[in-house]
Amino acid sequence: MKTNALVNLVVWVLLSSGISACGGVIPSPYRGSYVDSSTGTQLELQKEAGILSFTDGRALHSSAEEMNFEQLKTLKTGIYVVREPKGQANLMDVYWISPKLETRSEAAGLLWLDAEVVFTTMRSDVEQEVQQLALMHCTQGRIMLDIPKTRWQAGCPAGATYFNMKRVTP
Amino acid sequence: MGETSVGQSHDFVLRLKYQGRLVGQKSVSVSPRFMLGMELSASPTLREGIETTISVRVKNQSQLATDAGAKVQFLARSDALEILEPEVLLGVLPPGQSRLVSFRVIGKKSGEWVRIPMAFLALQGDGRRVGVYDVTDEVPIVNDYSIKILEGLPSLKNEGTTRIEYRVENQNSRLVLRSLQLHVRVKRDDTTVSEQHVILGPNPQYLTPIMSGHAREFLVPILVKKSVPSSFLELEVQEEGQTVVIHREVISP
Repeated sequence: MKTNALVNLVVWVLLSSGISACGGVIPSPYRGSYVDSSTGTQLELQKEAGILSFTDGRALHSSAEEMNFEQLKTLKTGIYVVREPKGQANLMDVYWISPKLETRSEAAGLLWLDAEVVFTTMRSDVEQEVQQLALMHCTQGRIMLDIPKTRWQAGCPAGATYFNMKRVTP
Repeated sequence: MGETSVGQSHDFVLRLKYQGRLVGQKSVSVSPRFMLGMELSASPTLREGIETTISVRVKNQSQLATDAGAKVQFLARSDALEILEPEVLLGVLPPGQSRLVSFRVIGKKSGEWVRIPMAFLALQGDGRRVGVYDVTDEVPIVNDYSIKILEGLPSLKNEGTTRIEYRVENQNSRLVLRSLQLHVRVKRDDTTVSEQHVILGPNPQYLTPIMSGHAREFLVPILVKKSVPSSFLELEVQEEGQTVVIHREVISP
């Protein structure tokens, strides 16, 4: 028993140190405040959360987590980070999804629903503060989940909004 | 001289005799050529499912203008392209002048390069042939995106539900985020959508943006209500609402 407890403790310490080494879900060079000068839309990225504030006063406030298909299946609003999608080294796909649960449908293993979608990509190998971040955004987007093959798509119709977020220095 | 003499050289000797005596002699070399010369104006490129043009520069290398009904025809012995208008009016082309004639075409193959034998014929209004240009070219297919079917196509001939697996690749597009839409159709012919096939799920599908050089795989489920003798599956990818590739696959009965 003692040995098991010790192993558990070591595993916990290793995992904790791993997490702190990673420094949270959003890489530290990306954390901070941004604004899109043409629309006034603001973005605040924190270690494990984000706030996207629109000029009409509406705001998306979500926690960020590593992408996990089972978690995505719960259709919770959130920022989902996929590290090295399809083996693309140092790349991160970042989905910010706010599903409209009443539109949920399913057929032939495909589950889909309308959603507000924000998408961007980040790099995990940058060390200096990122000064700009491009975002795609739409309120009439859609998320699709392929249940048998545990994969997904989240996208926008034509006419999506593209924000060129620039870092705001305090 | 007939058309068969074009490109060949013929030598003649003209002799002038006066009262049985040779008083002069001249050698003449004749190299017949067509009234109109043609050449590709640029190396053609095709885009799968998307309209582009193949252009030839036509030069009047004779001393006479072409007539108002003069035209250029385009023939291609290949299933890699569809010629939308195989005949274009040239009209009056004065001696020594040249004009660009463009043919609207659609690429029908996916892949990087296709070999296409092409022929351009120039005709006067009365149908008399006044120019021929034969060329075989390796033509690149340069869509911004490609889409391929990975699995499921053979099952579309059977009744029931089939999961069609596809792969979309960004081959050339810009390094910026752009929304992507996939429209799926099963057609009986170019204009008629099959009533026996139902696309299950959203159509169009909204896809995650794909960075240049990368690809994503997904599926579209299709219900076949009744097997039909001939039809084809058409996948159209749009980037921000602009068609970037249309891929067709025949559903063999």
